[in-house]
Amino acid sequence: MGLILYIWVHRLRLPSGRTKRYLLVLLLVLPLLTAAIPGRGSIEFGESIAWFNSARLLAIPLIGRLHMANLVVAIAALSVAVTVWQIARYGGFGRPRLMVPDGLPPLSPDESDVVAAIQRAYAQERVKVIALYLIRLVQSYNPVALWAFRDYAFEAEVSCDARAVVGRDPQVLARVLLKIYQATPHRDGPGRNRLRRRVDVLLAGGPDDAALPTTTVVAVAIFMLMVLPWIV
Amino acid sequence: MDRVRGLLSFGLIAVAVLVVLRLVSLTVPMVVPGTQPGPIAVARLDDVRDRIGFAPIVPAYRPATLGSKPVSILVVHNPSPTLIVAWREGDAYLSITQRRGGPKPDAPAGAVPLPDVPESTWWTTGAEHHLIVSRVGFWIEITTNLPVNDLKRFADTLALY
Repeated sequence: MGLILYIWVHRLRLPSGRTKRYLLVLLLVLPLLTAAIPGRGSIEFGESIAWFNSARLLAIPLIGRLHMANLVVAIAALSVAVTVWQIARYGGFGRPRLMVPDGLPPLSPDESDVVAAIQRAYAQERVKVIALYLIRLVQSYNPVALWAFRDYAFEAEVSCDARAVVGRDPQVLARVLLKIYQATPHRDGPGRNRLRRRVDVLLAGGPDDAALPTTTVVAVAIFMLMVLPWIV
Repeated sequence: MDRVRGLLSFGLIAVAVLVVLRLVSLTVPMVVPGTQPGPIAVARLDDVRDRIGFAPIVPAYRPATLGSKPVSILVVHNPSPTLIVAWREGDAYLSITQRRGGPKPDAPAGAVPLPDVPESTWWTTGAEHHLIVSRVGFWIEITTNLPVNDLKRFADTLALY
């Protein structure tokens, strides 16, 4: 399902905004719902009823006594390790947030005002992000969930940026983000990349919350809810 | 159309991905036969339903000469869900093969109905008796080297475990 959404979103060149956030939420929540369906994990279901049975792929031999299942377990272990590392480095429920590095030049009153606004927006967003973070933790073995939550957290930051600049000049926040970008050490490549992308979205006019009609998103959700149980 | 903008491309991508997944799921066991789940050993008759989705049908009558517990319980999922249960003690043995649906199992040309056992096909190979019966949507093949009287009692006492 992640593959379908990934190809689709890239084909549509879906911009940041509410639609993208909804799709990422689907990607995080639906696998948990379908995994809870009783009997879906039985051999008979996989062999006789399912549309796609991953057990067949997992049984493919690789080298020596290793099978594809061993490779998948290794990827899952790596995903869990990344989760543990992220918690150790950034703290579990840190996002969204504005990480202000040491050595940031002083901010003007306008800039301080927009920073305060963005912190308020973060506070409003936090409950939703924490809920999804817990869902992502439950699936910490799943690299797709890791990727989906990372993108969701970015989208939440973009959404907070948009709320913070309402009634203000977006250039002011862009300037603040660029200052943080310049003060962020080069070794923090992902952090710098996120800041740069946020500036890009801001300067492009902010997120597009109506990139796709709600009907389309609902139809996609229903389709995935109906199809996902048959893929084991 | 504007209300469902983007849905067509989603549908096309979803169908393409699902077709590829289905083809992979079907062709992998053909290319790599070891990926076919089965035969799978099951520890107890109580666990059979969880492993294959139906309850075993076994003879309630089992002479002491066969031992108290099956020596082997296997499930196979393809081409048809099948359960194979075997008892053995010394030279005496009994094997029950229970298959859900599908065509009737092959029997030699000389096979005949076993007297007083409805819907049965019976033949012998040396000292070994074979009996095929149909019960509640299952084909059940009984193979044993015990006397024909025991064979008949096996068939008469077939019941859900």
